[in-house]
Amino acid sequence: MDILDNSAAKGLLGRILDAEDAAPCEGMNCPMPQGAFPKETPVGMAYVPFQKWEKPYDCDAGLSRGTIFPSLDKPFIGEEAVRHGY
Amino acid sequence: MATEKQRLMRKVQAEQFAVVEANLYLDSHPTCRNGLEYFETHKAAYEAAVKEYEEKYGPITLAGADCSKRWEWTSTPFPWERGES
Repeated sequence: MDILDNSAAKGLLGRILDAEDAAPCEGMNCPMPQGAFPKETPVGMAYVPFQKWEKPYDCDAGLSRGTIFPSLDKPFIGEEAVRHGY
Repeated sequence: MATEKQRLMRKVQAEQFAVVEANLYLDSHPTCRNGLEYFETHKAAYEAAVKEYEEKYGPITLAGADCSKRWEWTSTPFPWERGES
């Protein structure tokens, strides 16, 4: 049973590793995909996805939530703040 | 029930917060049209809210102190004078 294959119980890392645009290493039938980054991206570094504009909260709600951007509204409440997302 | 004064102060705070958020976003997205427009809109709304508040309840910051007739800064209630705010 290929551990990379049971897509049903995929965690966050599993989904990243399965990113559709993943291309195996050139010339080798290596199962490990390249991942979602451009080829020239140096390995061994940490990367933060670049924030895109989105429809902000109404600013009164933003003041209460501590951000006007819904995607940044991640209260640390000891459980997964964003259901089934990451 | 919030008084008119508290409601207006909340508006000043909310608009100011929006401006600060836009600032942080624009620092890393300096040419984003959406971000720039958002900043313009809420900066204007913030200034209008401050103007309205200060006309009714006195200066929020020193810059807002009207000193045409008297030094208003110390004659209007201080924030900690609970009965007032």
